[in-house]
Amino acid sequence: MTTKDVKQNQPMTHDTRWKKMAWTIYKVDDQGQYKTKVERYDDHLIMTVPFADASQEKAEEVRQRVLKNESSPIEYFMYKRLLDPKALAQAMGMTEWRLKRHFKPGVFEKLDRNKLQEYAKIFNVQVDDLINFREDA
Amino acid sequence: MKVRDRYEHSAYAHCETGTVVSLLRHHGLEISEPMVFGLASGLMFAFLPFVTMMGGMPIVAYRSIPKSIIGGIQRRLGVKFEVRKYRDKAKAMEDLSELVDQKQVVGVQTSVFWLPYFPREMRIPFNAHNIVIFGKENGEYLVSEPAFEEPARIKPQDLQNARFAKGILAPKGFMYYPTYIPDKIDFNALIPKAIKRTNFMMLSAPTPCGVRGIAYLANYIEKLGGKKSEKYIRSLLGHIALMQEEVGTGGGGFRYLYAAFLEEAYERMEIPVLQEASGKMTEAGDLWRNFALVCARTFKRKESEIDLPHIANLLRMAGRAEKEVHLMLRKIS
Repeated sequence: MTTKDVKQNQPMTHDTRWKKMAWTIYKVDDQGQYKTKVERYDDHLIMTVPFADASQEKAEEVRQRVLKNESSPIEYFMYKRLLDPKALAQAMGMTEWRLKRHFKPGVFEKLDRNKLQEYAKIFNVQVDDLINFREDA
Repeated sequence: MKVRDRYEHSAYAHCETGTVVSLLRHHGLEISEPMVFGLASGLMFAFLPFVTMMGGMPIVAYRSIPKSIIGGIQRRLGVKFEVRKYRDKAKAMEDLSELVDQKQVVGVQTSVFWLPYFPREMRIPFNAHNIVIFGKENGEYLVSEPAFEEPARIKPQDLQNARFAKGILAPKGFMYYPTYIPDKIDFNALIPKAIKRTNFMMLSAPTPCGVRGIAYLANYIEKLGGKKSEKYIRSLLGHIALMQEEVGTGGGGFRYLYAAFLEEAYERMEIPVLQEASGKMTEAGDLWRNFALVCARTFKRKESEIDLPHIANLLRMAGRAEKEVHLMLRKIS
């Protein structure tokens, strides 16, 4: 993941966002007393990034399928935004079964604009990016 | 209640205790984060293989369920919180804006997925994240984020999305602020009660919870080999480590936080057992961390061998160490 994956209006970049995070931890000092200690993220046992990477790998795999017209951009953006079918279905307020239907290119083409607008809002993209599939939106 | 003029931000180990501590401190009650965690009996263990969360992973909890700190601290300390929930989004944002105009500092439940100031990799659909809203500037809310060293900003529209995310533990516009704090609080009488409750939760709870739950998880891990695919096993171990070690746990799956509480309890009450228990709890925390480290390594190195009996034994060691601490604490409660 690079800085250009983060699409935001604010001038904050990817790195500054990470730097702002405080990994507070309670640790024993030399006298055996407990003190709060703020650790930087890079010396921390960090698991979130591998998880995000696993999701990105999946997104890449889906992207190939979307280009071959075997899947829909909705599935791609779902993995790109670190969601899974269950979470996205809950966020959309519909069943997983219905969501998975929308992964079929034929069904996706027939979706109305309101539904696409709802998806676009969750993915933080424009509706056109979904229809014309702009992968780095 | 003596409300401070200026809100002071600082980073905390855990989001829920962090917001509660910020709110109480702002209203003039000097209390530390481990104290709130301990008094609200936040320590817990539960492994629920039949309930799945994100990515089809079972729930592994190292603390009591979300919102229980807010409830627990009210019951224990006798402080009162005004608690509100909404159906109407516009009304919820209007009320928040009104409260902020009155210089009230408000705790809000949000979903991490919708908070734009987090790094992209962190924005997972987790709905029970707590933040403090302490002001408004240029049409943006000022956020005291327990995971950040400095205050952040958020647009009202983003905040509304975060407050009304759907799914498990949906926030439904949940917000809270203290309205009453007793003049005098006798901590020495409350600490044994809180420890007793945690003891009960850890030692007497049925199998998926407490120390029995830890043994259950260890057996579950040991028996995984052959049953599930290698990929699933790796991601399950990664999930366990993620739940235990990431932002908002204070490390060692809240065990360090509880040890800090025991030490503070010793300073107040001067019962030697407490200090000894604090030391043992730190050792248990180290064992937990060791276990998480091995899990994380197995998850990250895809080619490495998976030694399930070894991992299960590390977990059993942590469980045994923790059981000893709770048995020791039985004497004082």
